[in-house]
Amino acid sequence: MMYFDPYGLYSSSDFINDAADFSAGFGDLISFGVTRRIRDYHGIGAVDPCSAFYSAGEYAGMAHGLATGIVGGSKAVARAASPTNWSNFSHSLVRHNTMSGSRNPVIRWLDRVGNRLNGDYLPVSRQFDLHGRIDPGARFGLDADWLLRNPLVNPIRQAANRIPYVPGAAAYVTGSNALNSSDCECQK
Amino acid sequence: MTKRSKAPIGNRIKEIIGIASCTEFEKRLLAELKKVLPVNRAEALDYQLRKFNKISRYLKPATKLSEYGYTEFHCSSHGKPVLRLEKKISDDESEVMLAKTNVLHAGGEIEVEFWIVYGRLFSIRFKSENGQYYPEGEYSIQPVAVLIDLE
Repeated sequence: MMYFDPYGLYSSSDFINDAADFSAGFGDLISFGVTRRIRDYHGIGAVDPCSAFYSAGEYAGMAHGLATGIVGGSKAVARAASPTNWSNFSHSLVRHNTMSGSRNPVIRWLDRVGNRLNGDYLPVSRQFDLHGRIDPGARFGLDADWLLRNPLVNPIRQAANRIPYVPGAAAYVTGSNALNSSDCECQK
Repeated sequence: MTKRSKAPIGNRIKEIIGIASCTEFEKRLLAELKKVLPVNRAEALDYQLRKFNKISRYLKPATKLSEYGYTEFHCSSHGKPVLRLEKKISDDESEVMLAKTNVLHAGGEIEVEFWIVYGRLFSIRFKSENGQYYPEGEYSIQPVAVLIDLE
């Protein structure tokens, strides 16, 4: 196939419009539709929310949101972020202490190290132990000097950090998609 | 005419806002500790308690032998932790257990340890066989035993 357009049916301005639709769809989805509302407020009407490229941008935004959650709490990323190449799995949604010792197979599955529906891998090192900063139950065995230099983060951030990245990312894209619903059907 | 509180204004503000303030149980434990410290060290403890601007607690029941309940005392200035305070409980800067006591209550017995580092109070650790770190109902505090030489 020859990639050229002898009749000029797809001009460079078409490409720019499609790229604008794609990036607008991407941005609208990850911003809970805030960017779309800003465009509407300022009367910027160049973006077509009913175009295929806008929809493709939205799907790319969803994929990006989910991928960020999946990759962000992975063992490889946690180890790469640690100066000593070490990571620790944090049971964040339901604490390990709460589930430990249960004979219920569902609870045992949820309690498993590496179950990303209940937690994430966090970077660990002498200088930087995120687990010890966000989880009061992860501070045992650490020396007082480190603990003094690294007090627990505030309770609001502790609570926010209890949301595992994967379900958190899924909730984020679902909520953002719901708030970004456009009125294409009415326009048609 | 009502009697005015003698607590410093900073402490009263912390009490009102509810940040960096001790629970009644912790206050009683610290009062018992002060009784057995030399006067200058007790004053240093009072000074440090005024300086602390963050207190963290962990009181979940333990599931491992290595776990315990704790109260951590922190002091920070402009977002950075302050390790050394002007007045010290001990001149030794290493992490040591300053004192210990036992608390008897209806639910059992709680072993209480006071830990210091850099000569400042760092944490109160609560240990008990049933994982209960705060007493229920009435309780009595056994005499506090100071474990290091402070003279």
